[in-house]
This record gives sequence, structure tokens and C-alpha cells, in this order.
Amino acid sequence: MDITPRQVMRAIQMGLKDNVLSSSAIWVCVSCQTCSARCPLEIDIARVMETLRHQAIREKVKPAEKHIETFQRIFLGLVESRGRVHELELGLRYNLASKDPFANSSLAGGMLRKRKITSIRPSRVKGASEVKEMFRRVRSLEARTELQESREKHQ
Amino acid sequence: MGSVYSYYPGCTQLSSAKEFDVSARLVCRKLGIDLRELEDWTCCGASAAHTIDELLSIVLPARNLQIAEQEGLPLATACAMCYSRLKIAAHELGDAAKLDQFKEIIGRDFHNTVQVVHLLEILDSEKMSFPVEKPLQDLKIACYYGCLLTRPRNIVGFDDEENPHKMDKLMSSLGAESVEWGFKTECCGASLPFSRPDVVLKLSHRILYHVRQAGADCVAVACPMCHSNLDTRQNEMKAKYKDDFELPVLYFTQLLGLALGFSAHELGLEKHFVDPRPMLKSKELA
Repeated sequence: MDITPRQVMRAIQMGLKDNVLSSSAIWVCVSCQTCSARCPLEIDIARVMETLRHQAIREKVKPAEKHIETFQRIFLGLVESRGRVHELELGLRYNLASKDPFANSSLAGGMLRKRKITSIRPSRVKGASEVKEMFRRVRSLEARTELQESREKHQ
Repeated sequence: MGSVYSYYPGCTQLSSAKEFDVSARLVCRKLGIDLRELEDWTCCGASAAHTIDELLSIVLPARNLQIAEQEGLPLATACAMCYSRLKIAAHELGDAAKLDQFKEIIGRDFHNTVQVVHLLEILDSEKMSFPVEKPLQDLKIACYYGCLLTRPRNIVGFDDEENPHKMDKLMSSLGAESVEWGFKTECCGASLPFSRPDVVLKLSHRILYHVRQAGADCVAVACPMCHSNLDTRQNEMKAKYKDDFELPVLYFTQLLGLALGFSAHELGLEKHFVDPRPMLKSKELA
């Protein structure tokens, strides 16, 4: 993390929006919630970090941790197209997208050797088309809300 | 008289954590817990949905809650990640506006009445008794809960947030010794193994270091992500930190299965990167 969670909270109080939204901290945070559980002022820090990440995405701020964002997007893309996630496909797609085709290959090799991954082909479930439709509706709902918010801002 | 649940396996349990699913189903059958796989379940969104989009992080798990509601049974899962996402979605849908939004998106009726339970909670019931065939004697276990079972306290409400004990209690009742240690709920690096392996290596190494300090023979886990981070990277830890742990990491369902008399092969013990069988054999447990 380039800045600590405490510094993120302070930066928000000081209105340093750009510093916060372009920080690596908001991406490296995995929502383990330890800080939220232990904050003496009961700030839900993990939730704040998550909100900042969503805001950075909405405002199209270039993510300081490109790989993390790429991985999560590929994961979600698989959920959208197949309904479930197949780990081998996730790994391969991530490697291609991050232009590092042999990353984690010893891990994948071990997984195949130990027969942890048995099928090469991802399965498609019946609910996949419904999940795809849900993604579409979420996007259109969010686009509507965004439009409304920007209209209100300009009034 | 057994209990009946809709069962949500989760994607990882179909592949890299197959042995978790297999051992969970085996022990439940033996204990009279009837797990009925949720019809046409889909991914809970795991760490990806809540990283990228709040609404998706609610509706993806909620689709499964809706199916479980139709089936009219409580929804059980063994995966800490799925458990966390399902619980958080149910909590968020307590908000009427969010519930309406979800119904609009899914296009079906839903009242958010499903009870989500983790397998450890079911096993913790007072009515539960374990027909132990092979007590786990002389086995020292470090029970590792990670983040998702215990936090946030007001939503998951699974156990004590800083010092959970449900898994320890289970292992003790099987004849094992659960060791006291301070890293039960520290984070292993979660979903970063691909994108920031350095972070995962550092955090997971720290956890295993403390497992060894506590004198445990192995680690018990309830999360496929924790399992993978702790089990599959011990070679890298050896190279980077000069610590050769060789510490077996097992799912709590596998340890329970051993005590109930299932064989190492039935429980998929050979699938772990660090083979737990030599250690278990030395204690006449496998």
C-alpha cells in the first residue's frame, strides 16, 4: 500500500480526492475487515475503501494496481458469460490479459498433477443466461442512476 | 432424526477444492445431515463483484437465496467465501429499496427469509454427536478461521470476532489438541495470488510461521482461498524466507472425516501440495 488506511481516512477529511482515488491502497485492500473490526472510532474503513474503489471506477480514474483490477474484471466476465467460474480458464485468461502467459504455471501444473483441476472445459449451467440478463439490467439501472445524478448536479 | 438443508457448493468446490466438497458431503451423510444441492446455483460473485460493483455484489449471491427460498430450506455452505457473500447479500436486502431493486433485476418474487448457515455452525449444535471411530489423538491442530467467517461481526455473527472457537471445539471433541495461537483471524492475502503474489506470500508466510511457533502438526481451514494460499506456496516461502514449513493444511471436514473412519483417499488427502499422509501415518491416523 502506498498510503495506509489511516492516511486514506485523513486524506478524505482534507478533501484530497484525486490522491485517494488514484492510490494503490484502495486496490490492494482485500476487504479483510480487520481495520473495521478494530477501529477505535468505529469507522467502517473497509466499506469506505470499497466505496472509493467504486467511485474511482465510475470516474474512470486509472487504477494504480492495474493487475488487481484486470483480475477481478476477468473473474466477473466469466460469471457473466458462464454463470460459474472455472479456475483454469480464469488463470489462462488472466495470463493473456496481463501479457504474462506463463505466470503461475508451476501452480497450474501442480493443480493438474494433483488432479485438483480435472476438467479442462468449463461447464455451462442453465442459470447462465439468467445471470447474463441480470448483468445487463444492473448496467442499465446504474446508467439511469448516473444520468439522473448528473442532471441533478447541473440543475 | 437428521436435519435438511439446501446446499451451496460454490465454484471452487467443483475444481481446486473438490476435496472440500467431497469430504463435506461424506461427513454430512454419516452424521444424518441431509444436504440437497441447490438447483441450478450460480457464482456468488466472490471477491470480484464487491471489488468492482456494489449492486452486482448483492444480486449475484441473492439469486441463490431466491432459489433457496423457493425450496423452503435453510441454505448451508462449507465455503467461507460463499458464506460471507450470501450473508452480506441477505443483510443488505433488509433494506426495502434494495430488495425492490433486486426483485426488478431478477424478475421474480422474493421475501428475503432464507437462513444462511455455515457447516461449522450446524456441527456446533448441541444436538450433534460424533460417532468417532478413530480419535485424533496426539494430533496438534492450529484452527485458522481467516477473515470471512468472523467479520463483519454484525453481519456474519458466526463466532467471537477476535478469538473464534467453533472449529477448535469440534477438533477437541474428535480427540485432537487445538493449539492456542494469535493468528486465527489474520488475513492470508485472499484473492491476490495472481495479481499481487508478493502480498499473499508475505501474509501467508507470517501465518504459517506462527502455526509452527505454536507447535502444531497441521492447520485446519474452512476456506478454499485460505487453503490454496497456505498450502500451495510453501515452496516459494522456502525460497524467499528460508522457512521450510512442510506444514499440511487440511479442511476441517477432512479431519472430521478421518475421525469418523473414512480413508485418506476417500477424503482426497492426496490432493494437497503438502502431503499430510506421512505426518498422519506417523500418528497412526492414515
